[in-house]
Amino acid sequence: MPFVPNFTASQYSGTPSVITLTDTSTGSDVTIASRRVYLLQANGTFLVPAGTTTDYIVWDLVDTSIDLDVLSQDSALSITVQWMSGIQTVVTSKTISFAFTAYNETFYYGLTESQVANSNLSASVNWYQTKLVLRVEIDSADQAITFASDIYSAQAALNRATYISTNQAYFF
Amino acid sequence: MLDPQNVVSIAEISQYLWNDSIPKQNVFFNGSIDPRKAQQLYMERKALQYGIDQDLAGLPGTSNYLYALCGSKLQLAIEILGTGGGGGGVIPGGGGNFTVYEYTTNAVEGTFTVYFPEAIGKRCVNAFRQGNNIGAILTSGVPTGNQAVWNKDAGSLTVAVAFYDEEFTRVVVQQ
Repeated sequence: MPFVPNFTASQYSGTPSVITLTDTSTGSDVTIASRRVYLLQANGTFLVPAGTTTDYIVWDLVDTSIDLDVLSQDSALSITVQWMSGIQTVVTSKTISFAFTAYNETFYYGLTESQVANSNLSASVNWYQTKLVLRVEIDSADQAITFASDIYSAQAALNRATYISTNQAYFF
Repeated sequence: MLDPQNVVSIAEISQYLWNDSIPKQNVFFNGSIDPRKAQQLYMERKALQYGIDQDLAGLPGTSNYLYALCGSKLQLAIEILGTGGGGGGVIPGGGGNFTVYEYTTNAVEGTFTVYFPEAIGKRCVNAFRQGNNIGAILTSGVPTGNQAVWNKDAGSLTVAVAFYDEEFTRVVVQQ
């Protein structure tokens, strides 16, 4: 059965700085000897964990998934996984764009939690409008990725959302 | 506790219902009580969906909050969601139990009667067949033309013109 490369990425609310990649490839190719990951940011640079000196991250073939502690805020990334031969040539690769939104989504959920405790909050125009803008920015980032794999527009939207959540004292 | 996933579905339907009614109220009744309602339902539903996906704390409170936010569209949304069993009930008007259910079956070629066991004992308010129009729905006698006879004790619908092979047949009955 031919090798069909694929992978997924996930992020959890409790550990928003960590993204988890899972290899969901099917089939096999005996020439594949190693695997590496590139995390391309909207500014054109590659994101790597602290201490990594290369642009890529080595992902051992024996590991189905890998946790990468790389995010300090919500980010749009174009992730490329390369499956390499023994002489370090690329056998095959797959690139997928993602919007990692756990920081702002968790903050957004917290706003709703506050409303549950005090429903009058939603009557405040300032509260309501800013929360709406936050929702729009998160949705915009998701849509930029879903419809166009556009990490630049997605990152711009996430930066605007992050501005709201990190300056919450002025907005809520 | 209400199933949060169910509440998400109910809220999504309510959002549509509010979105549909708010512009009409603006046109015909000089404005709505809360013009932000549909938007608000969307905003809080997205939060609940994220909470469910991530299994966050406080789900019961968030779920109840969203449920309450559905307001006057709540009951209709629940009915549309079809939590009533059968083919999904609708409430055509307020007051009394007007809940109706829909049942379907495929007829056997050449026969004149189809059976709906789940509709036994119920009043048939409408019936449809794919091949021919159904006219008056009688409760006794022998049908002629496009008439049909509903026997509530047997849950059967008898027609005058034989069914064709696998003809799709549907009855709407009242509880």
